Amino acid sequence: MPEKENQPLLTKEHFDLKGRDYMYRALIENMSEGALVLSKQHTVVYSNKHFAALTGFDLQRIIGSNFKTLLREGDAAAFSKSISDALNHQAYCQLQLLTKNKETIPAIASISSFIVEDKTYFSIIISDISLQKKIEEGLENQVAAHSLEIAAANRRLSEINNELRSANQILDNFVHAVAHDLRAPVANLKMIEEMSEKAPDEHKIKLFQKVRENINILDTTLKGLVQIIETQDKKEINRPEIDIIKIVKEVLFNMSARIKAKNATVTIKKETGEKINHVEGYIRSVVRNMVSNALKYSMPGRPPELKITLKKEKEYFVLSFSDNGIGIDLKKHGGNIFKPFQRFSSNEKGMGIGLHISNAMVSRNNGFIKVKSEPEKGTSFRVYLKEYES
Amino acid sequence: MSKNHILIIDDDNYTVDLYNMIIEWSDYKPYASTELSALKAMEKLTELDAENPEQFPDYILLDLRMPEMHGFDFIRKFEENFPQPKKNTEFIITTSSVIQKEKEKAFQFSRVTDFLIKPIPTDYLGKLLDC
Repeated sequence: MPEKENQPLLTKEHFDLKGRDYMYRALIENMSEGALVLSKQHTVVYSNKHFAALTGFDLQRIIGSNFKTLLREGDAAAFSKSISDALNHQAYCQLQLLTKNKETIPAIASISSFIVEDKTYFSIIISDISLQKKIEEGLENQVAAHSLEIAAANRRLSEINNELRSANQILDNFVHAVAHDLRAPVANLKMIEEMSEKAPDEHKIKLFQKVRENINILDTTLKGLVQIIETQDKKEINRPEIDIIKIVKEVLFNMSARIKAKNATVTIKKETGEKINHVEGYIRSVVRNMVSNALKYSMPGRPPELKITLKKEKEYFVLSFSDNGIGIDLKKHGGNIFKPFQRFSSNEKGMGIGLHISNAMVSRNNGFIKVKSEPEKGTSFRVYLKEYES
Repeated sequence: MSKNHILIIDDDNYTVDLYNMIIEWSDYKPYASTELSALKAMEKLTELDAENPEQFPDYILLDLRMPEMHGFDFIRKFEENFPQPKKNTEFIITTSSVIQKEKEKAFQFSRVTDFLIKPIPTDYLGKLLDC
């Protein structure tokens, strides 16, 4: 029949019985789902070509066989349950079809029942869901993989959180310390200003001297602050192999005038002469701070004695400084010892940032400092240096 | 009228220098003294209590952040050593940083009667001596 453009899509013939029969048949034969009709005893009385193509069996093999023989073992019971449900309403079940190649195809069966000449039949539409299954599995795998990633990210996040919290704590202490240390000389200056208002001239000269002193403390504190900040963001680019003992000796040589003035004895005992990849400036600075502390906090009437040793302990080089000084009451100050602007003695002047800076330098690559001390006996600092990867 | 006795405890020797000047330049010298170390201050108080109890301070101006002993620990120790009603010394906290929490904590001690942010007014000592 030649087609004309203005021809109606459905003609009268489509609606007579023969025409309709033809149309349904064509629909079922050509649709891209499997379509079956089973007898009440589950014998296949009709199958479309798509179902045959899906399973790989010939239509002859399918028609007349019990549908359950086309299912994976174990699926028959679920199918029987669904098919009896289908007597009352539309039923669905998931099953695995057996193929001619002994493979299985995941499928969904939509089952309904109908009666022709008092006989019950079941119509089944079979949809192949292997693609969906594959996507689902893929998704599941992805989800599993992502879960692992997320768990790892979470762990990292909580680590970062902890780091941040402790950084925040340090910052908090720092801000308080700075507030106090900057505020103190400013308060003094304000007091001097008020005192000089009413003071006679001879007192004013003395007060002027006090102005100078307090400005100097202010200046020193600010310099210390800058020093701390510089340590914080110093990039340790240069980390050549360095001879620790050689550096110790150089620092001691540079400080020899101060050592002599204090009548101090410094001995070096080394157990290892190895070299280490580290930041030379850090080691120099730590040694200088340790020696300087030993000189500063000596016991009155007892010349300072400082023993410096170097030994290897696991992955660390341990540089120890033991003195016979006034010691630190660690029960009281232990928690504060590496905080900035802390002073544990009123005898000596200091900014109270030396140990803070030393600790910050060493711990940049997971080194650390241990302290042992007994008041009036002495203090020993053990600096655990970790090697940088070369 | 007899004057009150005052002890000032502050670890900042620049501040203490200024207190000493105020004391020296006025007629407060027999009544007011300063101490840089909290531990030494405690020793001094014990000594005064034993030997010159009439010179035992009526007021103690106390710094909080001190290296040997925090001001609050000093007050606790004081309560132990010199309990009321034998000694009715009042404490005036002097501090250089304004931390609200510290202020609240300070007033939990019944002996703390004032909380000053440094610098303290120069005529404050004179007022304490006469009140």
